[in-house]
Amino acid sequence: MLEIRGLDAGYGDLKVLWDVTLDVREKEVTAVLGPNGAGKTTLLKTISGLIKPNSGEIRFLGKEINKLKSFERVRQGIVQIPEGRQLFPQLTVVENLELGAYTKNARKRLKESLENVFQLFPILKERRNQSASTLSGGEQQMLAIGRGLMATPVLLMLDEPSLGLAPKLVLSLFDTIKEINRSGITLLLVEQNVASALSIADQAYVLENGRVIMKGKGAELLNDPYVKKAYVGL
Amino acid sequence: MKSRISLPKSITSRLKLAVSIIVIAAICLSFYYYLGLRGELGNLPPILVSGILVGGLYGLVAVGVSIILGVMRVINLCHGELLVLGGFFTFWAVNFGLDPFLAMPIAFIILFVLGLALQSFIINPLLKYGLNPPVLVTFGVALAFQNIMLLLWTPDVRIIHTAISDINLQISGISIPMTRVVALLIALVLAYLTRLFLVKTFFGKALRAISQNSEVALLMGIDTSRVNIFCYGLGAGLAAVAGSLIGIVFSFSPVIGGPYMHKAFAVVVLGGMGNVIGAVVGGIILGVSETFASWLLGGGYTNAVAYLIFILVLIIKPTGIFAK
Repeated sequence: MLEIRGLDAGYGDLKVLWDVTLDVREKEVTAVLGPNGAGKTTLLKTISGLIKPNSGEIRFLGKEINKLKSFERVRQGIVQIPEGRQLFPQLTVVENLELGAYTKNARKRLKESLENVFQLFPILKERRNQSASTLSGGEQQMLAIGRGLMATPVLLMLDEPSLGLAPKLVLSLFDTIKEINRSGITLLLVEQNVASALSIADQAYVLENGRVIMKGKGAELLNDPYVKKAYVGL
Repeated sequence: MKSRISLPKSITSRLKLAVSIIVIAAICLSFYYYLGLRGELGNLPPILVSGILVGGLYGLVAVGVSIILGVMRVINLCHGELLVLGGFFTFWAVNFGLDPFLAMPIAFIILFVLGLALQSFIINPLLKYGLNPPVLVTFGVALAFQNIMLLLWTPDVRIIHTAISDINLQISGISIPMTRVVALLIALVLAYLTRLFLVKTFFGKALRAISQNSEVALLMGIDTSRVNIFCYGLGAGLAAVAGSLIGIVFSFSPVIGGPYMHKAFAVVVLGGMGNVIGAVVGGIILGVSETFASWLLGGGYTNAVAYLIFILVLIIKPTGIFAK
């Protein structure tokens, strides 16, 4: 579904990604793992169009999307849930969700999507008219995911969704992510919580210093000695 | 560095609030007694009224500055010149035989379109270089517009005459010019509509989203540069109406734009960036303080008071008096 070939990208003179090649297959969960500063967020930002690649190719559903602007990529169904929630703090829960459905196609299905999100996260319905800044960390993450779902994504990219959550919340979060995937949405998951991410991932890539150093099936990588030693801590 | 005795934040902020309320109340009370001693209490209502009426206009100018600043973080330094230009269009339309209150929507539309053009061709392309270039370019536009207007249309002071210009309302002994009342009403209605637009429509919500986090707004599929363009057009259109009202209530010339822009900026700081209600209330506070100052200290001090308030707010509560 998403094919990335020989991607080089960075910020100005600072090159972060080196010759990254990566595939996201339809209906699957693809995980990108790696330490801080490996370039995971840069990769997602480049796919979203917030960063222009220096070279390489990004194809989505068979079409090259390198030239498309961010909002055009969202219209195609590439939706990113950014790291650290990044809600609109002074807007209410409902307003945040509505903005998720800003594109024309998503707006047509606004009511339906809203019902779905409220079904997935009933607490958000209770808090619908509160401003987003008053939510707890876990609720904010639910809102961030809900806002992403409102865009009716084809490919949903999650950047460190477990960041800053209590261990118990992390477990239910990954259940939710799996549930979203089962509903037919393809996922690209960036995580530092390697064990949890690999447990739900079909395919996984390990990114270090801006290069893909390893790839394989989720379960395979979970048992890989290097991954175990470097990331799972066993 | 933390102070040794650190109170919880909620208590200190409440303490601050209580102290400021007491100080303001004390100032008002002593002022009231001072007037009572001088036997001039009767002057209080008309000054208050005229302050509120002027303040509504300041508020309308500030609403435009506020949304542009809120969305793009760009201080629109040519807002005053856009305002004067709007005044000119209404002035000509009136000379042409049109009713001023019909001419205003036309001025709004012309300035709206001009605003779209300014944003698309001059400001938007510079936004990617940080905030300084776009602010500087609005300063350049201000200088260019002011001098072109001076060159083409002379520095003469102009007044827009209306059918209600000579009518005064008499309310319990106070004489109020009809035009000022109508101007206040128009300013309030426009501010209200702007707020309604920001709160109720999808586009307005997108505008507020950009003001809070423009990168994520992009990720929501919002075409931020298009919203920026519309936002600037709206600000320019509102400036045109404000300029027309200033031409009706007072007078205008190519050089009055700057001071109005400065005052609007003070009002925006007072009321909080991107806050429409704050802009209107801030405008009225500024208007009332100015009229009081000019009555007590003489007309030359009105601007001094405006900037004094501006500086005080920046020192005491830089996020505006309505910020949580």
